[in-house]
Amino acid sequence: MDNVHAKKDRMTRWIIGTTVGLSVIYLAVLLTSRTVPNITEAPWFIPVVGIFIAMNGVSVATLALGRFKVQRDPLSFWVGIAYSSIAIGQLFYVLAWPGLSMDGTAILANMPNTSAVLSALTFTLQSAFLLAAVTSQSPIKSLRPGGLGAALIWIVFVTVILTLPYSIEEYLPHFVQPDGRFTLLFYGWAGIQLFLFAIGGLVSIFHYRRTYDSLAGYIAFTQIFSTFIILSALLTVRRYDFWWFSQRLIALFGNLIVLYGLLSDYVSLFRQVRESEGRYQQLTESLPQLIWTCASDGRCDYLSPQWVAYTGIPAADQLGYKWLERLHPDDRQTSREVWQAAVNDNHLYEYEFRVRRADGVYRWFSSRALPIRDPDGRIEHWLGASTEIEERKRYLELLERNNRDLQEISFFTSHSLQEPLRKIEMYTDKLLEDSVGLERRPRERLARLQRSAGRMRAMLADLFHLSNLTTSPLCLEQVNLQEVVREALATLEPRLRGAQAQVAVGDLPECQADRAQMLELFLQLVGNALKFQPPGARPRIEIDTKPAPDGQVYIGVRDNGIGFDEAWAGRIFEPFQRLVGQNEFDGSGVGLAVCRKIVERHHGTITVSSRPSQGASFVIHLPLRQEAEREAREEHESA
Amino acid sequence: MKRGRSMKVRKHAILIADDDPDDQEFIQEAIDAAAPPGVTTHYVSDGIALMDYLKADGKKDAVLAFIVLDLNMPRKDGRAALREIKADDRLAAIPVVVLTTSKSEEDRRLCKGLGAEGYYQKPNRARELEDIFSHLCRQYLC
Repeated sequence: MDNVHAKKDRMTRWIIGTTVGLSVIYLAVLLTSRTVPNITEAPWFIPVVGIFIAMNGVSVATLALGRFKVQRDPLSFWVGIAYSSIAIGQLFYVLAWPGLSMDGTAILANMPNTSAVLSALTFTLQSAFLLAAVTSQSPIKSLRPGGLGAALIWIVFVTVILTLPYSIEEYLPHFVQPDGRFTLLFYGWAGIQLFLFAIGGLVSIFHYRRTYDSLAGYIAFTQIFSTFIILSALLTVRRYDFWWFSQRLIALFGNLIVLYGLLSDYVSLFRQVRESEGRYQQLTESLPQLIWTCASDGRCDYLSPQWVAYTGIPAADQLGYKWLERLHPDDRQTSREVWQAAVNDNHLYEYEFRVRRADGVYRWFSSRALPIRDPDGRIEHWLGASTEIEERKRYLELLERNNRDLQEISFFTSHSLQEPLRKIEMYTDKLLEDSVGLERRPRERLARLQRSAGRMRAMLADLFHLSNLTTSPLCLEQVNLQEVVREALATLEPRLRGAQAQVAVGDLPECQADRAQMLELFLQLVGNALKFQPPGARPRIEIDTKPAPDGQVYIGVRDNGIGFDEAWAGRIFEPFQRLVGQNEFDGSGVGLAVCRKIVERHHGTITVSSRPSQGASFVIHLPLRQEAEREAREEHESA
Repeated sequence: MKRGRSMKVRKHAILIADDDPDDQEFIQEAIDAAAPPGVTTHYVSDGIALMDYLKADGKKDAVLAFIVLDLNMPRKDGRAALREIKADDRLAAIPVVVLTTSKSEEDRRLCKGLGAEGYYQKPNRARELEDIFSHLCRQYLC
């Protein structure tokens, strides 16, 4: 980027240097020439130069307005208008030239004064429009560059202005005296013109240094150049004669520079387009995806070589809607419908379908297509990519099947093992009854059997609960978490009172959730905080909220309990993980697993940070809304 | 399977529908511990046997105080039997107490909806089963 700017800085210096050099040479020629060639000896001079200037004006105006059509920049617009004015003005000027016709009369006028006024008017318009171009402000607000229609209105306006001198020839102020000498009025008018060119030139240079828009650079050149030429002529030429006209020739050079600038702009643009097209094609053809494009009406007009190689059928035989024939018969109809719907509503297309490979095997693809719009927002074409997802699909199926199996296993274990366990416990009770009078040792062993069975029962119940949480549907409603926490605390009241616990609850928000599960979440978290306390401590529990990212709620639960080593943080939410000894704190170690399950079912996250004997801090993020569609998608996937 | 306790003619009888012999034993022992002396028990092990017993015209030597009904039984399960009992005008008045291993909330709602007078999950401890029967006896044997 810096390189480009350094190059452009060199161009600025080149522009200023050439301008000053040429102007100095011109001034030197004017000052050193003693004799004034008679203009009547070369009657062709003015019409030929005039026609060249007009042609140059038309070319620059066409290119500049073309550039405006693409870029929508005010600079191109006003440059276009300025050069249209020159073209029109020069045309009128040539028509007013006395040497034009065979008998020495002009078509439009015969008075040198009229042509001098017209000339002055033309260059004033040019200088004014060029100033407008670089300040990017329209003198008339309602005619600010809106489109080519506005350009047309301006051109008509300029034409009307330039026809005025002919219709009021007798009333025109005198710019030239009958003997060809300039009047004071002429010098005044030329001064204004000079001023507009000079100011315009300075502004153009600043504009160019700011934007590095090369058109502004060329405009700067022509403005500064014109300033020097007019200044040189004004200082040395006193009469409406050849030397005065010579500046027209020099001015043509300045204006040709703008034409050159615009043309080189177009050439480099063309090169860029070719390069980016090549890069685009390389990119398209090196991607693992199958790339395709469709016209705005939805008909496919390009299929990347990958698609052709995959299907083994030439692209020409698959364009239009014929690619649909490569799809699995079961996917064809809906694919077409989904595609047509996307094309009709101009929305993102996303669909999964199976495509027939050259060897006849169907493989799953995920396809996406985006409408590409032109600057006016109309859809130019659709750009689509199809990614093979066969592996993903298979893994997903495997994962789902495994998940289902696991759920069944955990349901089976928790449910079916209860029955024999119940009998073990019942019979142990009976044995204990029968053992009255037996020795101490067997009775003790029976009691241990009893306790082990009890613990197993608790674990099975927890497992059953956990697997139930996974499978039972969520009953979603708007839940006030503040109320839920209050209810949880009321349920735990006896324990809280027994432990003399202090609980601080912040102003908790509402969110969409399953109320019963939220209650259980807080029961577990508060119960957890109460349970893991050093002996004799007074538990302190804080439940609060904080601003969360959009669409989420934040809940923090902190306690002053025994805490744990941070290294365990990853495992604390696993079921049946116990960080403390079996006998210190009872329970099977499923409470936090239940918490995580609940939070995850609500598409949220739960994390914990802690240090030994520093308490634990749980952070929960829950979405404000459980979108129904997300729920539906899950169901669709599990189905 | 029928296993009555031969006693002298008494006022009350309890009908137990459960196919699990262990459970039959637990229930019998719980009734022995909880019920006043002289209450007879009669066991059936599926829904069809239960309905046959209830509809049999033979003279019964005791008034049926209540039915203990398991839900999961062969041939005809407890839910169907319960529905049939409560739909039959002559039988609907007999209290039916469901005693099952089912943990499902759905079963509880279904049985309550069908008109079961009680619903208990089979407890794991002998003491708790006795408590259930002493409660039932207090309620239905007076």
